[in-house]
Amino acid sequence: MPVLEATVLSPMHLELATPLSLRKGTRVAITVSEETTVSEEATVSEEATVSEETDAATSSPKGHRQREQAWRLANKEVLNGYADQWVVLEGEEIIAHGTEPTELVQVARDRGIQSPYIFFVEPTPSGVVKIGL
Amino acid sequence: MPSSITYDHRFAYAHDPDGEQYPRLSFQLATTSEPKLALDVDAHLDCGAGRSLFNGRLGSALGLDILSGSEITFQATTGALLVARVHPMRLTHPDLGSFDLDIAFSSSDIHRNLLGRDFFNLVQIGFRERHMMFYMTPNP
Repeated sequence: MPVLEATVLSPMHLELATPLSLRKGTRVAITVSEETTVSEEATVSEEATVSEETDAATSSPKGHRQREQAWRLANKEVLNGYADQWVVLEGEEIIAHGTEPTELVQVARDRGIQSPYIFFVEPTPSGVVKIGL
Repeated sequence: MPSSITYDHRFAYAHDPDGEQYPRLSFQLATTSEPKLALDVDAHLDCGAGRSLFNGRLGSALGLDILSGSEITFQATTGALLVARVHPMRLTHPDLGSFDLDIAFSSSDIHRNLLGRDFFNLVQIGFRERHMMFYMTPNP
């Protein structure tokens, strides 16, 4: 189990199941375990009328490149400025953008990114409904 | 007769720049011969697509000689034809594992990569449009 040492945590960072009464300067040992969502199973039944709201509310949607997806969601206006271009995004940083993915990927690899995340920014005309092809 | 299906993983629909949400999966794409030369890409899940179709520029960025692949022609709902070239690829996702799949790379620009029914053949997949979620289990 990984051990986190010599780290300062404020009470704001912790949600204790049982309140502790500690004097200032008291050293405490805290065990932090990673929360798993793998065991979380989603069951869909044709006959089920089970609470869809509960199911959605308690789930932790997963995915690859979540950090970048969150950035894309929060920065739609920024991305609109790159419409009709390819963008390489790493975390919250746009590594490269342009019309030729091969060149952009090379820029990312030169920066040590082994598997660059690249996507095309579609223009967003209003009143248009998208279909697959 | 009532029946039920159990899924191992659930994913939220992703937002496109237009603000709409779509069932879109992010994963690592590589050739089967050079799995370490990979790209992380997105693709829309499209049960209306007979086969998976990706932008050919991505294949070129992976070092593929696109034209060396066997030719395949897609027909859009407008009747327009789109020529693509097929290459064996490996898709890798941290939760779902790896899939070897023949991907068609377009010879002209397309805006969205599509994972079609050939991919759906490798996973059990369910959609809950009302909740903007999709569910997957590899190796159905």
